Amino acid sequence: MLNIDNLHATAADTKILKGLNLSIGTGEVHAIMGPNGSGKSTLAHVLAGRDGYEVTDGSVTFLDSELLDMLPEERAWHGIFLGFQYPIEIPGVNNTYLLKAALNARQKFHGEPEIDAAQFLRVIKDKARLMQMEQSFLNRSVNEGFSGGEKKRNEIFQMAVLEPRLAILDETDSGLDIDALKIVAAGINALRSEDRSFLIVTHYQRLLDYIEPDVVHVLAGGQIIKSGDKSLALELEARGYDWVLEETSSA
Amino acid sequence: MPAKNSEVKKLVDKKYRHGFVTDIGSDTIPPGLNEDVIRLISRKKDEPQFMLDWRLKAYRHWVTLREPDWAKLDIDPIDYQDISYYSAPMQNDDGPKSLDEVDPKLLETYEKLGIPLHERAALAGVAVDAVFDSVSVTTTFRDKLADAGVIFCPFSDAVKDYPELVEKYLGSVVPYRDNFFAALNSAVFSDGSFVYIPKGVRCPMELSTYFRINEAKTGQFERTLIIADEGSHVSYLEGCTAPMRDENQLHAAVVELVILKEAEIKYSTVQNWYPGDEEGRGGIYNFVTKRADCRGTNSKVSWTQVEAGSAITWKYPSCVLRGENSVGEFYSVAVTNNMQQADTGTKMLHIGANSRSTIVSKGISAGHAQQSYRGLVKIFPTAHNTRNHTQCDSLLMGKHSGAHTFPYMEIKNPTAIVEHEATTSKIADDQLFYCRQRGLSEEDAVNMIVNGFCKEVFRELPMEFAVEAQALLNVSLEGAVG
Amino acid sequence: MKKNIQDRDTRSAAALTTIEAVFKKLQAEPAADIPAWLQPTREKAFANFRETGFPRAKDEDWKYTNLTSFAERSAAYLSNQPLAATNKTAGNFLTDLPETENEIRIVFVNGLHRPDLSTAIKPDSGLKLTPYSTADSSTSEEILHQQPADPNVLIALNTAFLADGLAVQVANDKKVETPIHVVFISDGQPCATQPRLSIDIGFNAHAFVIQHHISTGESLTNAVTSINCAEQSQLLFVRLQNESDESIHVANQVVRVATDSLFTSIGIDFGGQLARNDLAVDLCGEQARANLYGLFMINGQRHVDNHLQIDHHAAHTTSQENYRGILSDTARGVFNGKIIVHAGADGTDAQMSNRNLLLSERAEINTKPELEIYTDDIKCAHGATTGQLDMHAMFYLRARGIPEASARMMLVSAFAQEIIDHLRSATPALADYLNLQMNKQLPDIA
Repeated sequence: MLNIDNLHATAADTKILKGLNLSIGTGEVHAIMGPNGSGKSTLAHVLAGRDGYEVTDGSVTFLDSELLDMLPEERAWHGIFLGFQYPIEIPGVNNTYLLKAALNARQKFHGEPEIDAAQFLRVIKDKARLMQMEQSFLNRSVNEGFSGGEKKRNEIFQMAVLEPRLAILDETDSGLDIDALKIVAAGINALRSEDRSFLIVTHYQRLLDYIEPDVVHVLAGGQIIKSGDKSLALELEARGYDWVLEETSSA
Repeated sequence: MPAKNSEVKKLVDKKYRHGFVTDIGSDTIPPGLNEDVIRLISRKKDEPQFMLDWRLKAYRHWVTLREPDWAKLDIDPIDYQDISYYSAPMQNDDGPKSLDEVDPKLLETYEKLGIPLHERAALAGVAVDAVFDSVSVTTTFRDKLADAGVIFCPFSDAVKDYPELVEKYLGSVVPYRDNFFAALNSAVFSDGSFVYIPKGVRCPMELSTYFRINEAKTGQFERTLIIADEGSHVSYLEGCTAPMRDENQLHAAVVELVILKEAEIKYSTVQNWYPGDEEGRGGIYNFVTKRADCRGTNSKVSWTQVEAGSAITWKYPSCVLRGENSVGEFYSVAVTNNMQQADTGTKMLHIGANSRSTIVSKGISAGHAQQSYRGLVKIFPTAHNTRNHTQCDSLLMGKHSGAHTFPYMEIKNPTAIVEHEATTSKIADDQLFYCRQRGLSEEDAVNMIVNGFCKEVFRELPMEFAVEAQALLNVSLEGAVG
Repeated sequence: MKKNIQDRDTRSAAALTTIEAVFKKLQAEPAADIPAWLQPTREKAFANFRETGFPRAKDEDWKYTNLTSFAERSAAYLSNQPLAATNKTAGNFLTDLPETENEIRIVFVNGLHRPDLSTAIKPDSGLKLTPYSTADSSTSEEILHQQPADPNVLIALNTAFLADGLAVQVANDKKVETPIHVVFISDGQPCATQPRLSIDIGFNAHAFVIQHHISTGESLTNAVTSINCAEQSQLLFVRLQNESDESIHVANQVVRVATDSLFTSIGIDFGGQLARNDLAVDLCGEQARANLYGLFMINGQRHVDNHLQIDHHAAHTTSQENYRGILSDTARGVFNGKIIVHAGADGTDAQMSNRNLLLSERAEINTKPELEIYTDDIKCAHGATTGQLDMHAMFYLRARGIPEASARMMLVSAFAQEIIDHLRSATPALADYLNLQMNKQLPDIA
């Protein structure tokens, strides 16, 4: 589904990604872990097309299209979803309204009719229930006055409504207490399916207690330096990152 | 350059949907202003003597005045002798008795503007007074309103039919000596709307006046007077458009609201006069004096304005909060793009005890436009336990746009609580990216964020007009980002 | 009303005519103690003053403050100056001054430097303090070079009648830790003093200057301070105005702040019958910063007007303003803060706050926080509030057993602390002194 080949990227003239390779198959869940400053969030933002990063080399294909040529919204229409680490507040813009506009923009791109209003309302109510969100949240401004946990739940709720092909979740677990973490994980698990892939960026193994990844990668110094199965995450939790770094540098 | 000019023209045509001219015969007096012109206007309208006397007093005062220069506006000089002060579409001597006698071209004009005047086609629950250049063309639902005791008619009819009300209230809120443009309007105003809501009546429909400038080289000087008698309630809306022309046209209106005990007026404006082209050619000069006098206990006025058009806007709808517990509100969205300039805001004069006021002003400035909020909150020594809250936000789009804030607070009573907050910022890149990540195009994302920014004001508008205002905002800002 | 305005303008014009006659007389027979090198500058400034004239009643910058009494008192007093003070009266003022840590104290009385009352000026490798009356030719040139480029009418008047002043020059990389405390005393004789301070902080240098005005009787002060902060420098500037209840005090500070430097100003007005202060800061270089704090506390029929203007000329400049007013009896306060963000000053962050406490039925405050913004990549916010003491806090204190009067004083003092606290880290002694001064006045105010 996603193929990243030798990706180099800089931000403010600092090299951050230095030849990253990663391939995610359809229906797979990949976790990316790594020390602070290793380039995890940069990877998420480069994939979503945020300004301020420059790709200096390499390529990314997504569902057979060249991803890096697309505008952020085009990537969204093709099925990329980014769950933000720090979701922004947008005063006055209604949560539900944003989702409806987003869905319809995608429908239009695919040459399909607008979403039926009644059906849309049913969908968002179902998904809100899944995320244990109060109805009132739907009619509030996007993230305005939400607590940290509420913002993260809102991100997963949006993902549930938009039904992406590839969900990139950037430190979705940070700042969550254990109850909120369980709700968020349950939401993500409910969305796992054969034709949907996940790229979960996280600093802690904690989230992976609830979401079982197919592959775990270690990102350090702008490259994937080690990949393995779920046990790698446990080992990282127990032993930290230093041993992986040493292993790679001696190799 | 002709090719490029026509491209620009096309672009502007697309943006300003109301720029057409109606080809209709008109009775237009030659340009110029003197006492004879005023006598002529008064005679054409068959006015009683008191009106002519008042106009002449106003004119004699006006000639002693100079244009105000304190606003942050850069205006080419106006030649007041080069303007025609009266223009009316040709019609029978007596004027049309019913809609069937109104020139079909006029009806078509309003149809095109989205204001059908046939009652069967009209917006349900909205009565319309249609003012075309200097005169009122027709007023819908007059009979239905009359059943409720509500008077809603052209100003010129009111002068003849209800001279005692006009004489009592005209100039009682905005005296002809008030300012340069108010004096000019008092001397030459030709028509406008008159509303009287009797005691205890809740007006059964929304009232609305639609102003249209059509004729070239004319000014429009309308005057609106609304009296809400004790315990009454009315919601009133005005809209305005004009053709696209290369020269500037002058619009100097006066609106007076009289609000007695326990009464309430909600006054909404969607101002979409032609703003001029991208180079700043043409457009309406809009100088407006609007004031509400809350005379009685528990009276309330609420101004809501969406100012999108005009090359120049000079406008400060004000509230004189004389009555105890009276309430004044001002909700404003002003959008300026390209070369537009606006200096707008409000005055809240707290005289009565326990009076309260709220100001919410949202300014959006794009292109090379310059916009100023100018406001005064004054607490008189008599005004115990009053409150004001002002929120004044500006959004900038573009390196060459400007947003300025000039709030005055004069507080002479210690029990008052006066709070003022203001922010100026541009649309955050983070907000744009968030929306685009969810799949919105950049333009849609901007529109959505701008509408969100203005939401507090839009929700004060009657439903139908909120939708119109939102669409207008999007059109006004077309091309502002990119 | 109209007649009143015309009357004001006529009176100011008459005062100006008198002042012109005084100036001509001084020109013909110059006083001995005026440095000769000042003469051409004085003449040029007078021409400027003559042309501009006193502010007219309709002048927007003088909307709430009437300068007629200043004009008339200037006309009456200027012919008397300069006047030497008796040692006795001047000495009395000094006993009451704060004991700030190891300060260098420079005293001026009735506009003239008094070495006998000042700390002996030692030649220091990095810090040069020069009274104008003793300036050599190179220093006088430097002083003249630092004249405000575009003087307003009051600065022009100050320059036209300038007799003495102090130049503070801090060399590159020099960090002056000791406060430089400049005290301007008017001893009550009828003279119009024109104090002048010019402060020049070199590259990467630090300094701390206190400009302190005290007086008795019907004094008249027209002070001017010009400040230049070179790149990467830091200046803490404190202005204390504690003149008599009958005094008229106007002051201008003109400040230029260069790249990466920080200017902090704390202005305190406790005195004056009529006080007007204009602080204009130009942030000229990238990442220049200005923090302006102010406190005024007035009662009786006094009037204090604070005008601030910050011009953001360069990218990534930052300013912060926090002014607080406490007013009682029939006192009248004015706050006018203006932030101008010029084209090109992208990344500007400007924040302004003005809060006022009205403690009596007839006290009055006029506040006008303005923004003028000519580019889009900025963050600006301002806020202003006016109200009484918080009734809930009052109740809380009284419920704990504190008598009403004490509770009021406690809350007023707390309101002022946010400004005074900015001084505490630099000089606890001065902060304590201010609290002492404030506490003396509190029973009359709260």
